[in-house]
Amino acid sequence: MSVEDNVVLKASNVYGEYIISPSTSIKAVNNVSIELRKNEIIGIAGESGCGKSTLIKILYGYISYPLTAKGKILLNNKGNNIDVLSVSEDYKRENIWWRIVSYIPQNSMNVLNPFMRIGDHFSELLRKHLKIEKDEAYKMAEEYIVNMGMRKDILKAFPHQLSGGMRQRIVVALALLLKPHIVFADEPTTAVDVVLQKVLLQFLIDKQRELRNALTIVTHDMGVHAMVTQRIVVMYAGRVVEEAPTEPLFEDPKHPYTQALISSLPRLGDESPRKGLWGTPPDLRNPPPGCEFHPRCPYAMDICRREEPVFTKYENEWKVRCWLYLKR
Amino acid sequence: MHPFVKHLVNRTMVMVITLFIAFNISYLLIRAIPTSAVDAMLGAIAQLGQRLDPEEYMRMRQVLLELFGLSGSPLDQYLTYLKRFFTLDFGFSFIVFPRPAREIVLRYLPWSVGLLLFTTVISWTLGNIIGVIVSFVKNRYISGALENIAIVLYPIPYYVFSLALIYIFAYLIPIFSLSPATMPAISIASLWDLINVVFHILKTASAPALSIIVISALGWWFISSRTLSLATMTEDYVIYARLRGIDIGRIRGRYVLRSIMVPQVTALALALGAVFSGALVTEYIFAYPGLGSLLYQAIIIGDYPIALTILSLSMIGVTLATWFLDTVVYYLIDPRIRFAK
Amino acid sequence: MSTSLKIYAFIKIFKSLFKYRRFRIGLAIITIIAILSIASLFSPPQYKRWYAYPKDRPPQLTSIDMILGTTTNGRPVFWIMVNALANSLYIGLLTALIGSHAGLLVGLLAGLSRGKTESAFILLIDSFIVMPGLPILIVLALALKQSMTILTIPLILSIIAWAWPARNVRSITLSVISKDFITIASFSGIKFFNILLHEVMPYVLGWHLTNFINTIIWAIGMETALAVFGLSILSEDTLGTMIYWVLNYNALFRGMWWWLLPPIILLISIFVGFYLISVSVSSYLNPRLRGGGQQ
Repeated sequence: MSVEDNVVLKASNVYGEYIISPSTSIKAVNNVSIELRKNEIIGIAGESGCGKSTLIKILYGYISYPLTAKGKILLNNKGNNIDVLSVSEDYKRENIWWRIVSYIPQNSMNVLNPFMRIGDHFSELLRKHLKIEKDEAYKMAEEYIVNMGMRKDILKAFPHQLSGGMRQRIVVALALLLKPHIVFADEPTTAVDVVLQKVLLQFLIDKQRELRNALTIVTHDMGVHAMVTQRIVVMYAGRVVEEAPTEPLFEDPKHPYTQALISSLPRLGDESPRKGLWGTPPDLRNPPPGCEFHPRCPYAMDICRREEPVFTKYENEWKVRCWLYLKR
Repeated sequence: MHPFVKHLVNRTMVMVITLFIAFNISYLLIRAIPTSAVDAMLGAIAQLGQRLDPEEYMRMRQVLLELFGLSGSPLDQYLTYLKRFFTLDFGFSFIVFPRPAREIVLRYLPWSVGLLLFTTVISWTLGNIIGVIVSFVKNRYISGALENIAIVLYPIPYYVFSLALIYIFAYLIPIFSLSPATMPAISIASLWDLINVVFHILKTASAPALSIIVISALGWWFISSRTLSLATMTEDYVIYARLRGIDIGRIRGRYVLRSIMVPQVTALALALGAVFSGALVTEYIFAYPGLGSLLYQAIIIGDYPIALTILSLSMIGVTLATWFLDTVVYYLIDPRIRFAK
Repeated sequence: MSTSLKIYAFIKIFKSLFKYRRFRIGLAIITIIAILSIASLFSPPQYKRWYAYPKDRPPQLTSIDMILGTTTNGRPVFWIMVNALANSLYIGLLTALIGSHAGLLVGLLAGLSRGKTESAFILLIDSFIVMPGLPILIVLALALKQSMTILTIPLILSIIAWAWPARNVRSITLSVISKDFITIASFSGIKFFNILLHEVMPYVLGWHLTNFINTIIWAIGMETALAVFGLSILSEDTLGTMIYWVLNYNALFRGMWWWLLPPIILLISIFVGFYLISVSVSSYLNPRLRGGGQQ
């Protein structure tokens, strides 16, 4: 199956399961298909536990026990298509990871090696992937850091000597070091104060504009999506429920879940009390029959309890998976 | 205040208190020996075939009386003993009268220190490295088997293992010799002599060293290293390193091994007492010319000066070494302490 | 808790432990050891007398007395062995009873105290941990040479034995106290002592059991070490004193393997058997390791 030119990653029918015991497993990702495009910022939205973090780990190709994955994930590398799930981890380590795709993990504050200086974090990547010597790598790292707008002597510091915000920026800088085509950011602004959030997001956007990569931001914070993304994929209980360009989606969300997510955001001038969504996400070991959102849906119909809905496609690349919109 | 200063003060206080308690227990021993025993001791010296002329006899009697003594007020006695304890001056040895006990002990000391340093460094390093490597092994059978071996080795004291080794390799399959080793007169007149001496040292030390290293490395350090490694492998910064595509070898070394070194240094500091104690008995069993064998001789004969010298030296030495590991080395090895904000 | 509840809880825990292969093996070894030591009750009265039997005889199957041969002191190895086993176990158990309980008490107090008292406890415990055990015990044994009996050795060993259990119990207590459910319990007005008894103790008791077993191992090891230096009991046999005599007479050099082998095998079995049990208990207590199935 070939992939169009501006699509950098095409995932079809991806499943991700955590095997807890021989009899129980958690279907964290359930038949998700998604496309990442060149020079586009896409957001994946949804509550904690909806499977978005697991999804991007699988798209990245990092499958570690007890996670298992299946499906087709095609990476478009200069015309060649690489199936992320079928190549070995060694291959990914040598050729794909950090060079074509990179990752900004959750909890960025604690992902740096406390026993290594910042400079070493950069130089070890440069030495490995560009096969250069220590001195040259260090010099490159210095130039790079300065280009990123940070001071050179940060390289000599240990992670614990830097502030949380600084460490966050380092992690972003590390992700962009080898100029990858695709960048995954997993909750980059959670656990960070609002002021720093803005700085960080601005940093991410500026760099994306400069390097023209495909940036995927995973977060439950709809405010971030509104501010930064061009297209949003909304997930619930491991499945995609809606996908649309950002502005139109915010103006007129179709899926009841998306409506609830967006209406929980405060708006300037709107003084009505915010309505939260009652209930809790379903137990993924034993999901409810039919549409997995029906227990919490204010518009649930009889058919919702019995049958799983399929996608309705609109123009403008809008997809919704809800019985409300399915013409019978 | 720099967090390390607090730690340093704490560890120094521990050292002081330890030495204080150890010293007082030692003082109790002295108090427990009745002065009538002094004459018995002098008799023992005579029995060992030492010829005492009357002057030396009186001098020795004086020293012993003062050592176990009732000369001077209680406070005087306490302070004098304090001085003896820290200068390791407990008078003349019985075995090799009239040489001072300290001189004899210092002659045997290098052998013990050598053995201890060698075995401790090797087993700590080896155990840690093997533990990390095995924690990366995916094959459950191999890692499980090694873990089982380690669990069997762990609770066995060095010297019991030594006895087993002696039985197998000295009796059944003669590799080591059963007869006691003689301490060579170390006179290095030529390169050949040096080689000979080194070879002899290695040969003598191989058996006790082997006992200690096998139990320490494959028992103690392997188990703790593997447990720590498995825990470290799930840490965020290790997972992030894998995501960045860093080579597994580098992750093993620069991430996991480097990270477990800090708690393992602390663990080593705490284990030093046990390592030393075990080595002491092992030395005696293999008739290795170190403090262990000397101590046995001293105890059997009742040579209190030598026994006290060795015991005080042990207490001070181990306590100091523990302090050193817990402060100096710990400081150097943990950048979070050394370069604190 | 009523007695029947306690028994029920005990049986339940035992059943879970029994699932671990290590526990089963350890229990089997210790059971064999226990049976052997009970045999000591049947010792013929003359086994203690020197030269009651011909000396230096290798094992013969003529009678139980000669089944493991005799020593250079003219005594039957088999009867010495079972008595030594019983005595060593006895010393180990007594030391563990005294020492690990003392450690439990100190550890609890240390974990529950604050401020200057807490610092004092920490210093005390750490100081005893750092102290090199054998030299101290040798000094004590030299001083108290006359009064080294089966009853007093455990007391002497306990002087050092309490430290590690105390350290362990303190850290467990600290970690339990910081758990949320304790805070909630105290907010809901339950008296402190009741919290201690019903919420904290169950956690601590599990680790106390592990410490108890480890103290047995340590004590037998230490007593044996002292015995090898000739500092243990003079009148009774322990596995350590057997080894002392073996080394003293250079028995192995003279080919008397039947005198050396039994104490070594028994010692190794005791150490490994108890340790397997101890490891199973601590695996059980650590929820992360539990549910690992075959161990």
